[in-house]
Amino acid sequence: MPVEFADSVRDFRFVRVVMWAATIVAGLLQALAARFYISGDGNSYLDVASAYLRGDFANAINAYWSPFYSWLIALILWAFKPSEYWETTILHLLSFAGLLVALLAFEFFLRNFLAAKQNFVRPEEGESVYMPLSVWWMLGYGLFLARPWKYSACTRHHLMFGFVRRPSCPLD
Amino acid sequence: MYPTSPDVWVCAATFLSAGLILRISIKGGLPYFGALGLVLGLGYLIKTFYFPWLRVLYLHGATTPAGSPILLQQDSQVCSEHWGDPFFSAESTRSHDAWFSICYFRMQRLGKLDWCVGKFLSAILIDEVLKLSVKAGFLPGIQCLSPPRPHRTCQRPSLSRYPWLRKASEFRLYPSS
Repeated sequence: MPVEFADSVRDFRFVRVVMWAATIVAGLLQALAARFYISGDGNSYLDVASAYLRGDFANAINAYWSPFYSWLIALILWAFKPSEYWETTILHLLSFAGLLVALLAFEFFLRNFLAAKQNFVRPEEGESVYMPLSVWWMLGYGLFLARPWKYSACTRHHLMFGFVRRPSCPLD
Repeated sequence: MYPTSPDVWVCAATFLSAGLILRISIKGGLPYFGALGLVLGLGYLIKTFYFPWLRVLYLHGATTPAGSPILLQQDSQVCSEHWGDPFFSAESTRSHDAWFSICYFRMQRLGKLDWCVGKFLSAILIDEVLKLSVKAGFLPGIQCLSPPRPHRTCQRPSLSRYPWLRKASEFRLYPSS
């Protein structure tokens, strides 16, 4: 006999509001806590963005650093013209904005994943537990948020969390 | 969020592309193919990781059997019936948009295991980026894909506003992307 749990739009909205609030608060706190930290790569991206701004394309365009992030930094530097004191803070706020964009993208992915699951996966007979949508969303948000904060140096890899469990990490 | 790097933007592009593929599998539709091409092209500009990732998508689309959740082959047939070759050839030529071409050839060719098309389109995409670079002032003689490879293209920029951090990162005292 399958066990069913109550599933409602209100539950989903509640989960969504809580997770968005948690993301914004935790992301802002971490961005501000690490506002004077800059990695070697971030340093170089900042240099490339500055080179774009001063028209030094020979140094700005290169075969090592991808252009998009430098363009974003250059746009921010051009718009706000921060002093050197605030440059690293601006970088972290840009990462925070990226986190929010990534969360939106994750919601888009999970929404389509659940729709595809509903369309193509037939519930097997004898399945004992039915997982409501709000629980799916809670698990998804939890996985999304757990990776960047636990392994903050491995943000590139948390996009693969659903496929590969990374065996080791420098901050483990 | 410690690393000040584009990793989080890579994450966004990956989720978007995965969501678009799922959406295509559910509903199909030309706009979603176009959006997928744009996202993949943007992903390439964010991180070169998307260059092999494109191949993964090609492989996935080409080897997915009909009737499975990802129905790229069936979608491609529907789209090609509605739009046809001439429109897309003319449109992609007119706009010089390699992303649009990728979407088009992706729909048309993947079911036939035509790997050459994938390679050709990837080359077009890179060529477009290099062309823009040359227009922007990058020296035409410096190309990362043609031997002999100039030393400077593989080096990190020499200028640095925080040289002590540069030194630290080279010794891997800081996490690096």
